[in-house]
Amino acid sequence: MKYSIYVLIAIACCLVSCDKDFLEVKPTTVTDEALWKDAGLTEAYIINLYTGIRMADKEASDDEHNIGFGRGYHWAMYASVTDEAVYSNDDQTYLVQRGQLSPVLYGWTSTTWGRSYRGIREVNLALQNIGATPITDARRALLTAELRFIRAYRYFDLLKGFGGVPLIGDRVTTLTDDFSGLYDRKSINETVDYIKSELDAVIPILPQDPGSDWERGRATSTAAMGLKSRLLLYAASPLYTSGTNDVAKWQQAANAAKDIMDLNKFDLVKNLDADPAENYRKLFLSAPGIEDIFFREYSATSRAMAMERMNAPNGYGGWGGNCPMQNLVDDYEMMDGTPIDDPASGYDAQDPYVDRDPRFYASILYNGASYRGRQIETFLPGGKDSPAGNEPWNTSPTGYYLRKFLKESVGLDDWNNMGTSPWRYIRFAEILLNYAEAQNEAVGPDQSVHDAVNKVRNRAGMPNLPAGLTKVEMRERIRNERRVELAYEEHRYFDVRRWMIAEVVENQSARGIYITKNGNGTFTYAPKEALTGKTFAAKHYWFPIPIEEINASNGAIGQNPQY
Amino acid sequence: MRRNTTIVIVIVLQFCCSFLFAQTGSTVEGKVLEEGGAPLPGVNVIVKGTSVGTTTDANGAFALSVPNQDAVLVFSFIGYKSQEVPVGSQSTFEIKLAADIETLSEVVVVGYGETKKESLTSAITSVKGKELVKSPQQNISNSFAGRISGVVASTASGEPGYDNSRLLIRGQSTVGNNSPLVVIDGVANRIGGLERLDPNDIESVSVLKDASAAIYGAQAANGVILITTKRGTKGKPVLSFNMNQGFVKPTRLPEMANSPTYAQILNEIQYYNNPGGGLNQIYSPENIQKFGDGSDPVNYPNTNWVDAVMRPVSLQSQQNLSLNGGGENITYFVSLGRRHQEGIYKNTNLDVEQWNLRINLDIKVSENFKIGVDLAGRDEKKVFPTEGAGNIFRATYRTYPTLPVYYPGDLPSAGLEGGNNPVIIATDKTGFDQQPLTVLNSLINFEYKLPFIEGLAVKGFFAQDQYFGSRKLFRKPWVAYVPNTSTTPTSYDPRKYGPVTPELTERDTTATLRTINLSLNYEKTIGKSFLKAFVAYEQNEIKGRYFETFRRGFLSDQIPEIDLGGSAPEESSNKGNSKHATRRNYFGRVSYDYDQKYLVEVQFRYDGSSNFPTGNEYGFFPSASVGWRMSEESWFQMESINNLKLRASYGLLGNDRINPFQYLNSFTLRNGAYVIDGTPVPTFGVFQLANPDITWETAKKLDIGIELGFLRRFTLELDYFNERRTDLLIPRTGSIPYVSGIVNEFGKPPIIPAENIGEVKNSGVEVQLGYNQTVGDFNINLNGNFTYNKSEAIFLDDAAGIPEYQKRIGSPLGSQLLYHSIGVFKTAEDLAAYPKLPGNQLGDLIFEDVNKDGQITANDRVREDLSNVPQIIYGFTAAITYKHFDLSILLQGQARVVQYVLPESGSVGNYFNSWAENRWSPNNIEGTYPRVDTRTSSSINGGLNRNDFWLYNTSFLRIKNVELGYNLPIGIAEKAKLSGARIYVNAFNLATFSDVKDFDPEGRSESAQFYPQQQIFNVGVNLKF
Repeated sequence: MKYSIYVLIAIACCLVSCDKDFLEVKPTTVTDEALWKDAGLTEAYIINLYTGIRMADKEASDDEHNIGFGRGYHWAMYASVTDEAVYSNDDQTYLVQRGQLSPVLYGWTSTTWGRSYRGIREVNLALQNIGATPITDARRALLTAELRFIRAYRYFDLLKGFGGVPLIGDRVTTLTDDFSGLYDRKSINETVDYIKSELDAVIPILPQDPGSDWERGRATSTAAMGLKSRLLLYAASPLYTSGTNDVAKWQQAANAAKDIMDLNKFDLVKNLDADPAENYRKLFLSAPGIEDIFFREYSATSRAMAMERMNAPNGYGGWGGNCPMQNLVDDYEMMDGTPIDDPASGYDAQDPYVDRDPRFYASILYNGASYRGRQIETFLPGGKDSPAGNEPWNTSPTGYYLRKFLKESVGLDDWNNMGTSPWRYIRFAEILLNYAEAQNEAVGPDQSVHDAVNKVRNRAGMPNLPAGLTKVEMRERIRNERRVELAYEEHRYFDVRRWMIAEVVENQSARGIYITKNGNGTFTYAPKEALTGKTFAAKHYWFPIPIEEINASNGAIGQNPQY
Repeated sequence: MRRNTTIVIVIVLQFCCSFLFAQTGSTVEGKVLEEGGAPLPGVNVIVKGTSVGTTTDANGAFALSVPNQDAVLVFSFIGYKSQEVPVGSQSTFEIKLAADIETLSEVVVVGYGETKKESLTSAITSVKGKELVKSPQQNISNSFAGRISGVVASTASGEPGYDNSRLLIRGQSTVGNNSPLVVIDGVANRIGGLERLDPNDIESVSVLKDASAAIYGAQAANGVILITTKRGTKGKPVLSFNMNQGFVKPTRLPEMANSPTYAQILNEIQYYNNPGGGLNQIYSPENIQKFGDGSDPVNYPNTNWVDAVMRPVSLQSQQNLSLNGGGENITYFVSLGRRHQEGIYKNTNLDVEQWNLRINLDIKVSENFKIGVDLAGRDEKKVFPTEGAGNIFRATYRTYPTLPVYYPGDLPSAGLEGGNNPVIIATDKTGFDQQPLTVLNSLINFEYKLPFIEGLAVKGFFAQDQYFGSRKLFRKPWVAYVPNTSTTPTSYDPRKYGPVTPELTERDTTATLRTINLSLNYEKTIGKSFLKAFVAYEQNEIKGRYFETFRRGFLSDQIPEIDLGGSAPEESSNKGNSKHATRRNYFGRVSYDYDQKYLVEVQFRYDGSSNFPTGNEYGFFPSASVGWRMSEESWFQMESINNLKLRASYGLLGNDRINPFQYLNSFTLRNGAYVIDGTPVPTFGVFQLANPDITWETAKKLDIGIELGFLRRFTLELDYFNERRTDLLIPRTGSIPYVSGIVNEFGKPPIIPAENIGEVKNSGVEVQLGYNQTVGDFNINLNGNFTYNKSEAIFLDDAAGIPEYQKRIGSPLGSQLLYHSIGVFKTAEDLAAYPKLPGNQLGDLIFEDVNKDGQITANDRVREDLSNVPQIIYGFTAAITYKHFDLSILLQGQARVVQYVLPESGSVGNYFNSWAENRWSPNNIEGTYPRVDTRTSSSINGGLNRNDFWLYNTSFLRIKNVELGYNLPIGIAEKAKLSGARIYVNAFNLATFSDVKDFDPEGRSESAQFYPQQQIFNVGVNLKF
């Protein structure tokens, strides 16, 4: 008995393994030990940098496949913090619309700050480590250029939001660093120059087109050129030059756009439908094509938000999200090219939706528009898409609904197929308008300016601009053309600021339309206020830097003026 | 048979004695009384130094032969102090036994051992399993509240299967994981945890609150809860059957605004959004009238959604059958239990059922060698609706009272949005969510007394736990109806809601824990000195993995099996991962006492963990404690004080409850985050930066206690405690600027690793007061406990730029940064008189201009001085027995605690009536609540500017538990072939006294959208065969 007890104790001692490595456990996640030594993992890390992190509640989560550059598709779009739209469910848009934007209350605007700097650091981390990755030098050069393009885009996001910002270079900040060297905000010029030099550096290296080993959706030289065009246009604009109207800058901007035009590589899409309105509508639903310079694609298993459901009228079970303002509707010209406030236009406020710019019909759902098998009913009493309809809190506050980007072939309950339209960061129509604007400012409304604008207008089924416009008149027409052609494409917010007209247009009330259906079946149209308290203060030309950042730096990072 | 043998032995012995002492012996007789004068039956009367003895009869009387006049009689009885009486010339005795109110002989389970209560030198509170079963709770963590001083137990949800309490020992000391270490039958971190243990299987629960926990080293800083299950006792088999039937109601549900009120509110919201349109833009006064008078319930309903969704009472039950007994060599405790709970919603499929089995065997292999074999298993069958409780209550509280539950013809309405009619989504019409799990715990332990050195023993155990959890979530489309007003009369169109096709997620999770322990123990008495010591080695290894697969595109909802799902690539997905962690520990303890007066204990633990990098794995955690039983000193002559002990403990403890591998840079897979060439590809993003220096948090704990017994009936235990938690693992989110690029993602674990930089102070007092008296047939036992503790941040990485009054430093952990509301802008004069926010209008909250700069800015927010962890907790128990009756009452309360609750209201949802009735409006300018707004979450008075108007004082006093039992008189029980029987009724959460009326004050949801805590009425029986 005694003997067997000792045997048992001996066995017990053996069970207590004397394995020295007992506490050495292999991680079940990918560590940098693995990542940089594997070419596939390294590329997967780089591709990830086309997306950014979520910084606030109302930004895309992993399920919504994350924000890219700017904001892109989301429940509340950028349009809804401008005079383009009112977002029916608020989602922190009203604080911008109502002039409450502040370092504490910045909703999803100033989040660009944190997201961009994280993206920049992660680019730098890859640049630091890619030397160890087992790939060819040619591939390494290509990936390095791709990384620098992504970094330049992140800086551009910072620039357009905040103005001049700290430039980090290739530094990979670590936890134990002294951060004080990071607080130096460079001037706008220095920031622009840095982004420009980075783009100039990668344009010769990046491929012009996707190919067998360079997938569609990755950086190309033309994407870098497109971004450069926009960068230089912004840099020449009044907000960026303090109104000094530096002609040389406008000329540089015009040249940058012209460089792309001269490639003869891109054109405006016209072949999707014989009807110019339908052609324009389908453009935004189709896969990237000849017009697209830089974009982000989605698919059934990598969807953006359920944009169709979000924006459809409440009468169809939609949530009536980003609803176009009357302010935008009024800026669509008559089909003959006259603005509606021109007494000769023939515009009838009591029959407002006839003979308008085809892009109006492609972009906006209005009372009486044919949609998903019936006509839109935003009238009262009884209109199905009015407050009298289904889920009245999802009705449009403006009397209009969004049509652009949204697939009408997708059922509004078909969650798995919503939000699959590509988001176009840069398309050729913008480049034409960039050129027209810069060239007009640099040398005046020459024929090339007319040609560029008219090319955009004609594609949409609109006539040429009248001849003999003055520089100032041309400026106004180009600005309106951008408003209409690029509506909801995340330009308006930054355009009205760089032109420094926000104090005018963003201080106008947010208007909608109140439509009464009369006993005899006719309609009466009356203006209404779609959102109370729309205001803009001069400080809102730039985003506020988040209060957390001011606090973390103990005030060393200078806040934007007047906040 | 055995009993007969015993009787024979006793008879034989008695015969021998009579024979031996026949010539000089004499018979004495007498009566043993309780102090109050009542006779005490069953008292043991023994002649000291012999085995001669008897017990008192029903009248307390005894008769006994004693050898001679020098003999000494020893009277002993459980619960009373033993008394020795010399026989002398007396032949009749009347003995009064004093109640042993200190129950000094109580044995308390401590870390890796047990000790007599009087030898304790540290703050350990123990509660018996028989106390815990008095709470008719299916989750025993809910039975702790009020019963154990120093333990904050609060329940955030009453949802069956998810109704466990958050347990905090002496409050919070870290911003990280504050949960105590749970040790079950000596095995730390036992798989399955304590919550779903069968209370009938529990012998005792000990809570180590001070440095005594240091024997658990790097896991001990948050305190340790030791659970000991029942073991067999020698004797004839006792078969017990316990069952109870519970009737469950919510403790507190909000009263929501009714239709006419809400219709007016919608009108007001519209008015604020479009002031030109007046106050009747949506509903006319006639409409509102119709909502109120019920004249047209189809078109003008007045729905109480709370009543529509909940049933008045739901059921739960428990059964337990156990067998306890044993012989010379084997004792056994075998138990089988079942529990069942159903959901509170009408027609719901929510159902939780558990079966549990336990076999605890003790085998004496030889005189020196014992082994124990424990096997326990349980099977939980949990079924839920596809929508979680949060969503169901969200829909219930938000859905307009102006919407009907059903349209004519029993057609369910679509509810507020997405077809989420709460009456529908609380049922299986949307599918089901099965979450079954099985837990197996096994343990073999041994003790071998080494024969060559007396007092030396080798002990050890091997424990293997297994967890098998799975989930089967089947979501299917459902139909609800929307009115179609284009037809006359209005028709109701069916609409499909939920997923387009049925979809199925299946997930399997498994985990194993293996613990091996070996120790060398020594025990020795030398004169008046007693020495007890051990050294031990322990290692454990936990491994886990999960696998999940998803399919949609099912053609039919009839057969929810994965292989019947759609076959297109986008119709399926899967994922999985695994974990692995190990620990290796060396520890020991030396206890010494001299004459039971001077007590000293020293412990150490050398702890290694795979959570930390090579070279940093090990830490050393020593502790020491001393005690002085002053009342045992010969010079101590205070009649009124019968026990006095002073004790103190101090030690170093660790908290390593952090994610592993934080010493490495790690990356996370983002599945299909980006599309290239039209196809989504997996990508990798930064998950966490490395902190190569990471180590555990260190707690230095001091406890000074005094234990007092006075006036024979009272006990008092008083503790002062003080903890300094340093090396607090916190990510430096306050001082790392975004420009560094080290930026955390919203709603994700921080990429900034935890660093050992924080520091928190936590101190307080605990008082326990007891009283015990028997008067006539009454026995009264009263106990009160009170704990005050306050945490205070010493360093928590606040940003440098913020004002002092916003810093977390100096504030309790978890306190919020809020504006102070000081009223409502009632009039235009108010608007002119106070500084305000841009956009403020009449009916808005006035915020205090804290820094007096004439405007309301972010700098006017102030760090609160309370959090939702109470600084004061207290409990009071009363146990009264009278003849066959027993009554016990538990009161429990908390104070100095707040909870932020901003209901999701506006045009997006209904209002608590308390707000609706008292809202400011143009017609009610004396309203004390702010005006209504489109949605509270983005209202200037709500989510946009978080403020203390929404901070509720969640102090409460509850009648936590009341139980009345009746023991069947022995005679009747015997007729029924029972050796004992008791029937009882009890109530849990019988009444709650609190300022908070709209939700249960223990709720921790900031929207109050949670499954409410339960009030339970119970009837039950305990039978012994």
